[in-house]
Amino acid sequence: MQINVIGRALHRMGLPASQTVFYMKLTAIFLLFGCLQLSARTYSQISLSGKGISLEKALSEIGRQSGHFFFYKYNELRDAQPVTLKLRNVPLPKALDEIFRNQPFTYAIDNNTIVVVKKETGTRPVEEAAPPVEVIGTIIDEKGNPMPGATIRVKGTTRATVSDASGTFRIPELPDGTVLVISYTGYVMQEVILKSGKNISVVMKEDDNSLKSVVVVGYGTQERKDVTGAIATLPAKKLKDQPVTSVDAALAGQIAGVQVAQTSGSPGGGVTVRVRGSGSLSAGNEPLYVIDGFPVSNDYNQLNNPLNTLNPNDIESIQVLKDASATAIYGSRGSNGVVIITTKSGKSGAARINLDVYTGYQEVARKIDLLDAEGFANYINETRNNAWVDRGGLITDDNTVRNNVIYRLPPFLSDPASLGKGTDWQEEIFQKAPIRNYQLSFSGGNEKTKYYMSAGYLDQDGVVINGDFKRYNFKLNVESQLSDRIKVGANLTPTYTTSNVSDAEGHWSGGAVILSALLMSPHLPVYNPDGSYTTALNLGYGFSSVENPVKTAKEKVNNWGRFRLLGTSFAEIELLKDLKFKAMVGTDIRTARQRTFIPSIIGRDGAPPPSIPLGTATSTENVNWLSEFTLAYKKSVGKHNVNSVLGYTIQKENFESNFVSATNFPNDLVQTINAGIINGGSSDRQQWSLLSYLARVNYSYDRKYMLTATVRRDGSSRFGSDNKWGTFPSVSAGWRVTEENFMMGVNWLDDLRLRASYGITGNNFIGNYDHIGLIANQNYVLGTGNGTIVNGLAPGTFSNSNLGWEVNKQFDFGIELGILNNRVVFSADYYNKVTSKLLLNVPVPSITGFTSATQNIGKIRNNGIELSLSTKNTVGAFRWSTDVNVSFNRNKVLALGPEGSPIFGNYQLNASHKTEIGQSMGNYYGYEVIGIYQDEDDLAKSAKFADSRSGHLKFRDVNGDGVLSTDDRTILGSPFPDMTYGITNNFSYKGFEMNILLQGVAGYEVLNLGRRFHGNYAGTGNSIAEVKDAWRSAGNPGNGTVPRLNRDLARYSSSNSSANISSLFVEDASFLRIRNISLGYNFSEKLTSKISARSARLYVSVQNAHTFTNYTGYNPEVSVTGASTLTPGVDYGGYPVARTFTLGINLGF
Amino acid sequence: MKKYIFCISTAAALGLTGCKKDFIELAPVSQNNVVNFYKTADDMKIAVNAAYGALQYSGQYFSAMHEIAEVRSDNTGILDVQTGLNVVEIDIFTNRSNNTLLNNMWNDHYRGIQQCNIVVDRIAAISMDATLKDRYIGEVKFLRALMYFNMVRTFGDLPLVIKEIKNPEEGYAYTREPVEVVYAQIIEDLKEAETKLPAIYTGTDIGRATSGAAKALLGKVYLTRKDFTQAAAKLKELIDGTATSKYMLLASYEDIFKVTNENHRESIFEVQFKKGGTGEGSPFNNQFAPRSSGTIVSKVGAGLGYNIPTQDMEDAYEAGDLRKDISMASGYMNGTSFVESKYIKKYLDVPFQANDADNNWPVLRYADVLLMYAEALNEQGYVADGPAFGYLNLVRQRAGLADKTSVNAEPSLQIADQAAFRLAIEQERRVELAFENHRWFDLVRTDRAIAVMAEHGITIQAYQLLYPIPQSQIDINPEMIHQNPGYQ
Repeated sequence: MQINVIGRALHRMGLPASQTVFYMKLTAIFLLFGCLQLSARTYSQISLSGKGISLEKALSEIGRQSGHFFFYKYNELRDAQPVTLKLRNVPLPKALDEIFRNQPFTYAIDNNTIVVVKKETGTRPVEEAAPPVEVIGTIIDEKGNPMPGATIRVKGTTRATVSDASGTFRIPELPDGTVLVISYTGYVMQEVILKSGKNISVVMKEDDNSLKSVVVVGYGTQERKDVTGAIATLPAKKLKDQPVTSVDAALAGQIAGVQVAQTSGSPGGGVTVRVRGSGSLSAGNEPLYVIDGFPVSNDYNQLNNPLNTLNPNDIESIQVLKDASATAIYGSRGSNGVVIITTKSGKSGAARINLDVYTGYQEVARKIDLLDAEGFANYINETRNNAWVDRGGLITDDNTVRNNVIYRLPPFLSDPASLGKGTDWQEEIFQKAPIRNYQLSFSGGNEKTKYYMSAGYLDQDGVVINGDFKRYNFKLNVESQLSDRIKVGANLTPTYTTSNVSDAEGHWSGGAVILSALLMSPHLPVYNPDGSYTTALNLGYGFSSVENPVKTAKEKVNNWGRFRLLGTSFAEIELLKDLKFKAMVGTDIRTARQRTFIPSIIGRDGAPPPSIPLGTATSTENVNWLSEFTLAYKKSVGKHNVNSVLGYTIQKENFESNFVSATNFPNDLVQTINAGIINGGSSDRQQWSLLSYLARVNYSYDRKYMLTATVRRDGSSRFGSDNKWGTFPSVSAGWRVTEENFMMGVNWLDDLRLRASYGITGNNFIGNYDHIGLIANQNYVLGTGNGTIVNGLAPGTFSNSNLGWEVNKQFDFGIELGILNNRVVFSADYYNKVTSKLLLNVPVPSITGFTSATQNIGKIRNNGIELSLSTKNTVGAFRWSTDVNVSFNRNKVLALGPEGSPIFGNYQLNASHKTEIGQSMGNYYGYEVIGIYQDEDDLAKSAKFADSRSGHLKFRDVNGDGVLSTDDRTILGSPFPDMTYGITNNFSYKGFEMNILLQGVAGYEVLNLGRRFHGNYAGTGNSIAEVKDAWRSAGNPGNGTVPRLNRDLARYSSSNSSANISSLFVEDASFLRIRNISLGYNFSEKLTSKISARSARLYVSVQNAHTFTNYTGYNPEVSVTGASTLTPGVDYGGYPVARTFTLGINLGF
Repeated sequence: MKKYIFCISTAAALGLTGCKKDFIELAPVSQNNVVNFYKTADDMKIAVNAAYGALQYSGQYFSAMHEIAEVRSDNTGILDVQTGLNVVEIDIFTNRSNNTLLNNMWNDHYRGIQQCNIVVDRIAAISMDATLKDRYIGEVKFLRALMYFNMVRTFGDLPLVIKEIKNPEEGYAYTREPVEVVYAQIIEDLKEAETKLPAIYTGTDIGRATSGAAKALLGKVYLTRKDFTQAAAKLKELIDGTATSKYMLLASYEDIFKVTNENHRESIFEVQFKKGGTGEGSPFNNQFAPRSSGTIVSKVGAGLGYNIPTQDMEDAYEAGDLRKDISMASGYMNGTSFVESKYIKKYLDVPFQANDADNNWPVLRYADVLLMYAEALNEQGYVADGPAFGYLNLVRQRAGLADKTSVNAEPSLQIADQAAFRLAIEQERRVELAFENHRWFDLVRTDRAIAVMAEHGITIQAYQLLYPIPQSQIDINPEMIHQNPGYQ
């Protein structure tokens, strides 16, 4: 007979003498808990409340409170029904009576032991009355495992039974149409309608809203119902079927208060994540990522998202810690929120093999409406003629009279009609790009040791030609219970990624493919008749010197290889009853190498090829290590429950990089550095370190009143000598209203919780040595002949010994509601977070010798409301559930810089953005267009610049002084949305599942600055098609928004659309995106058994099927400046986000 | 069990004690910092070298200076290309206050000035050889004066910073001082530099500022201030010279610009460059070669077509002037065909790579001194065929041109009065010192800019004799920094 012992509590009675020495050493620690270290044995009164708790759990709790052992037969107890209890200070026997009422068990108290035995009679009361014919059913979980102990009730009666060890149950024959209700703790309750002669099989789904579910918080776990902070959980199943390469991209639209923007469609790159807005101007706004307990460095990069080293398939769950109560345990790194990623681990039981494969393709969802070759020729000729006429010339003058190239008519465009459509350069640089993913995983184990292993391969091409991303990832996770008291584990995740990065985004003059394609003359073919590439670098006639984007995309080399090894191992030891010590060491090693080569056939610096080839080779290495020691103490005494942790961590990162460049390669054949002449090189080494002490206490009384207090003390190398250490406390409280006696009668309300928190966190995402004035090389040449290089060193930055972390104070109030058997779960949060001592790289008067300096100045407030609602609209055979989340965040700058002066961000043009007190950060800045000067009369009576003419853009005279000047620039829009939302609908019927995820962002603008080239009305290259409707005369004013076309930009420098930002470039980018649609089918066991599979699932999905928006560019979430907060939201040839179609299969064995 | 507990507690204890406070005291590994620098005489030498290095900034002689002093004038221009819009605006006087070139110029000059100020402030406390200390002070004061001189001529009134600014707040306290105050400081610095600097250097110090450089610049400052007496006196000192430091005109005009001949006897002060992929090369070859010429003119790296000589400039050379073909070309040969496209030839060393050649930039040279002296003499009083004629003609003779005299059968060689002499000097300076960043400042200094630009076909207003203060500086500190008239 297998005897399980619950109530290990009393084991400690046999504490060996040698351990008492250690016990003494820990006295100091115990003092902290001393007041709670009460003897449980003095209590014989039992208090226990809960709905649908398992018998096992109830007994365990009673054992804990009373100090009794329970003896029972494990398999038998599985037949027990869940119990619902409301016990307050009742004697032990009464409590037991209450528990065993309606159970097929009885009990006997023998000294300190309670023996649980099956009732001799009536163990299966329903069976006894059973007629000879029975319905037989099986209950399995989603993975096909039998579920013993599920309760099956006949709806509307008290008749019930439980499933046995093989998940089967028997029930007397019942009339057709009878409804069975199947329930299992932690799983969604299901109803099944009986049909005559049919056996039933029920697949139980895990219930994410379950209050029983465990939430991973920093340095420990908590039961969801005890959580008093704002923590959102996303289980793996909500990530499935989305062909995303990194996990953060899959978060989009799923969590209230978390804005995930795919700012670039470049394979493997470009996702920004903001938790509750942006609180920092220059210290970074990305949350801290903690992967399996390891806080990783996640240096944001537009082209490479560091999280892409993690295979989304390996993820078990993601928790987003939002408020200060939750994040303060991460101290000086917590203020941007914390994303805790838990990867999969093994489960005891039979070994499982899973194969996941998907394949598909991606395409560009929309193109920009540009002129074709004929329209282009007309446009170009008009811009030259207008420019020449304005200089006093005649439209009939030929090129010999026109005295500057910009007035001359290109002879190759003299007959527009003959040019036809020409080349669609967008078509040439975009492609249908394949994506493939394979993953094989094994897991299993026994009671003591569990393992999970996986290997994966992802191969994704970019929608811009010649870019790709490949990932090879492995994972090994082993956990073993060495003895009763000691558990050890290790987790290794080696990943190699390689990518060819298209030089897609940014200014065309550097060769960036997208703006080049938009500007490239459509009259040119891609290739010359001899097969060589065409170029527009030497067109002359006032054209921008653009290189053929197909050539740049195909011939320029930018290849990356990255290796990341994330490894942790831990040992956890139960020192004493309720007291566990855990030591974890981990390392995060990242190495990368980059190889670039610009061959001679690509023209550079505005000159046509051949150019001198250029090559670079870069290698970097980051080694981050962490040691972490925690003591966890968990104790329930009567109605008092304490769960606490005390810890010490130490973390350090070493960074080294080497760079070498070469030029004068003899040809394009050998592209590595050795073939050229080395012309430059550098190396760099940096470090940072962090030393921390942390503590947290969760206390709850009677499961009704919860209190959490945390504190962390961080010492960081990144801060000034006068400000090395900071303390980050937080406190939060929760109240489960539904547990109150006065709520007992309210049956429709399953859960009502109120919580509030306040705390202080920090942000230390700044440079490693910002507090020390650095001295930079500034050499010179002296001496005879051609001279010799002499060393020079000059200051590069200001010193600031007071530099510290940004201080973030956050208040949060939340309410959580579950009604109708938790079919409707609602939560709402209000938060107010104020970041002060803002780390600012403040522009300073450059007479100081510096244009900027990092200081702790400034204050920003983010406040907002987050709402989420999950509903199970239908249950039963056809199931439909909906998750909706909506967040409203308001961002406001409260103080800035020493003088409160605004900060101007400069992206490509000076003062493209303005951050000022009283406004949100990073607003777009420039002139507000109010029309076009229609005629001389209009010009005469309107405010204008000295160089304004009829047909030019008319700007608003903001300061009302009657003339236009730089003082009339104003705020044109904001990159911060008023509202972000997501709606997920899940449907399932029989084996079919469907998921539709909508993601929306409303009330924000994008600065479409690429339009200063393809929308400058000056004919420096190709243009958006709307120039056909330009102003031509007072009688022919066009569509009212397009000014007169004129190549002579420099003669209306104050108002042209090339060098001035105006509201023409600022577009409403609100959008609603069908982010994901997936349809899956789970094959029945009958079919899967034929291929010896445990489960089989086939699915198709479409990602980014459609985006509803008025934005005219490729992607309304674009930001070529990525995470920048001073120059956000700029579209400068941003990489389009692809629409992706995939077909996938999951097989389980 | 006992063993495990022991191991873990030991590990924990090690963890706790192994990490002292200095675990989080990390100083930069790959860079020097202000905490450990500026301590020794050697440090000061390196700091002084860096101040010279500031002259190579793009906002100084690397590019801004020729844009604001040559492109602005009738000497050179730029064809309209998108990437050069900021320069085009400078060329045709439509520049706005947010022109990035002006922003660079402002930032890079004050960055250099701060580096000079640091040396001046910090060297006092360092015990070192007194002569050397004086020389370092003299060097950075010369550099500071040169930078302020370029700035005051460009922007007019300036914030006058003459001490190290140690924290950003101090930067908000400065307002623009009148040009008189700025010039007073420049003159004071140059007078001090003149006494502290040696007349010549040898070996590895060649290229540093000399007392001659201080005198020449001081002469130019006096001339700019129309203090002709002092100007003449100061420039005369250079003409008289001493046996060891006598400046002289090189026999061949071409030799002045040869990279094999740097820091020659005519040279008074040059910004030094050296090619070789070390970031110390000069960009002028590629910058000035015609844009469409590929590598035909520049040899290595494409031509970018900035600073293009105008037709007026080409026409300014008298027939037979040897300097013309050395200074500029009207086009280049592409295979067998001639492409008409003017470009500057003074700085055509073959680069190591694009923008990386040996050409130094001539800041002050003896021919400039001779012409300035002649001008100063003439301003003190026209003397028919007096000494001023002699100095003017000295420069002309080298160019293979006939002397100009007070009475001459050939009208173009006759200088009959003071006004005519002024124009003769203006003309001679234009061709002798073409493309060396003198023209615009000469025109402004002699009150001729408006008239000359009108002849060139551009009507300008008096306010345009100064450039606008960079808008960014006004935006940052609007209380203290105000815009020049005409640009508001």
